[in-house]
Amino acid sequence: MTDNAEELIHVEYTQPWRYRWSTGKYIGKAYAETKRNKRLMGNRCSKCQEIVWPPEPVCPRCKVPTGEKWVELGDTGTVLQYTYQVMPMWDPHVGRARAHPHPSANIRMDSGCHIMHRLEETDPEKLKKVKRVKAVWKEEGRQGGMDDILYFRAIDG
Amino acid sequence: MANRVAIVAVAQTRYHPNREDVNEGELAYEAIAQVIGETGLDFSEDGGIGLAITSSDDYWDGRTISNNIVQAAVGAHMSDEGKVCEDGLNAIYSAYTRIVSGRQDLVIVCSHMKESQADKSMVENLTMDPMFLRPFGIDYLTASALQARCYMEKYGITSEQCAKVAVKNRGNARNNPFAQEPLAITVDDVLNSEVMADPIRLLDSKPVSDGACAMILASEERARKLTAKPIWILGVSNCYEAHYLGERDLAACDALSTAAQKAYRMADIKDPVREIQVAEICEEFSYQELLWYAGLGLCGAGEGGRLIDSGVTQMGGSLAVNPSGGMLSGVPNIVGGMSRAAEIVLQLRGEAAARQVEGPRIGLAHGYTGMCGQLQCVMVLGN
Ligand SMILES: [Zn+2]
Repeated sequence: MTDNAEELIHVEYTQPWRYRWSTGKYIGKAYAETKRNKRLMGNRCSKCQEIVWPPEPVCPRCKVPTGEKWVELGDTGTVLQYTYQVMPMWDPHVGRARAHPHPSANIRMDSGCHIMHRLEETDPEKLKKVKRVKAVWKEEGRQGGMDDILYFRAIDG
Repeated sequence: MANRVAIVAVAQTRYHPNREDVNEGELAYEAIAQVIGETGLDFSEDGGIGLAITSSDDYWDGRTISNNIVQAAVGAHMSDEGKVCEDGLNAIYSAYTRIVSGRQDLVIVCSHMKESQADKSMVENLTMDPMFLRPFGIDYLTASALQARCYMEKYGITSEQCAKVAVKNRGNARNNPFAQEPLAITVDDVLNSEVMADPIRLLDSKPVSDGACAMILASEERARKLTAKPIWILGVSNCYEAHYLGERDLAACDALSTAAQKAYRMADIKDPVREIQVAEICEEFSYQELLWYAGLGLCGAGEGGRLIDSGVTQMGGSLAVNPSGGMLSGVPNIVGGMSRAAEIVLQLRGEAAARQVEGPRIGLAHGYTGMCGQLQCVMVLGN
């Protein structure tokens, strides 16, 4: 209808979004374990014996209650894929996009679970050789959850 | 002849102001585990539940695809799944159509909500059109106060008549073990409670609430094998009206009238007041029950005040409305309509215990979504 640029307007809001999400007891257990004991814990399904990660009250595969057989995921794993992020990513903690220096990766833990996290190595050439990795935990200021691990560091074997 | 569809199992959590001990999936599973346990069904391809339909809301839950967190709990992993981002009665409607079509013969539905997780006013403001309504900061309380004022002035409805709804429903809630806020209050207590948005007072409004409701729907053949007391969906319809309040006659609730008339026609109900013995309707604010009476054809336009005065809708009246205590006694948005239908199922089975109405054969469930009842859904059930 119009080609008048003055009439094509952007309406912007900067609204705070405040939510208080409950972890529930399964995710709560996993959060408490990272915070207190620097370890990743998942619950093993009472039927198929697979580890459910992130922890759930019901096994998605068997569709029965998982129960509370907690097992450690361990700190070591193998990088399956990684991506080197050039564009800034949205940081929900500060409500804006910012460049993150550490590449994102999909890691298969030696316990069999797959987790999403970051890699310590930032050099694109050296990244190509990163296979075996180990979690580097925050020594101080752990709040519970995946941010209690700083990143995964390349290890031998 | 289309398939008949029955509700064969229902469950609700107890409604609570703040279930901080559980996340949405765990909360939903409290109701889901009951209906699975009661029917002995599973999700196997050979004769199990073939579809899960949940109702929840992205803004309320603070995540798009708000059904993600209940995926495991509702048995939807690697299965046929759907979400209705509207009041839960629409989820039952959606499940009904899948069974009527012959595509499914067993469907689980679940509606879940934790209102305690977010600020109600913020969420409601986010549902508003951003160009013309949102900048004013209005929420459903403000909009409903405008609707209440419009309705009360047009028909001479008094604050006392609205207060009677709050007294009736919170009083009825004393017989409902799932109710969050059973209260013995008087009309004066309501009229003396804090003004929230004039003319709506604290006790005219429902409290913040967390809870879930689940059901299993079945084709006639499966229903007969699963229960001796199937409750049939005889009629159902919904209707949507304009978002912008200026486009609507706020004292008329035209969408509700249309939805109700279509549902009655389908159920072959000609005189709802005589043919229906029990109704459970969603009323976030007390004036709404009076306004919805007329929309549901239980009285003429503007006669809601006279209907509550007559005592017909009290427990023991010929058409008890909200024996459970309704939403005013504390039921979350989104869960509202499904929990209304669950209550009607219990009534028609004769299993409503202390809140049981005597021998009902036909019951009415109502739910709405959005500001001032923008989307209305009506369901007629029979035993
Ligand atoms: Zn399993």
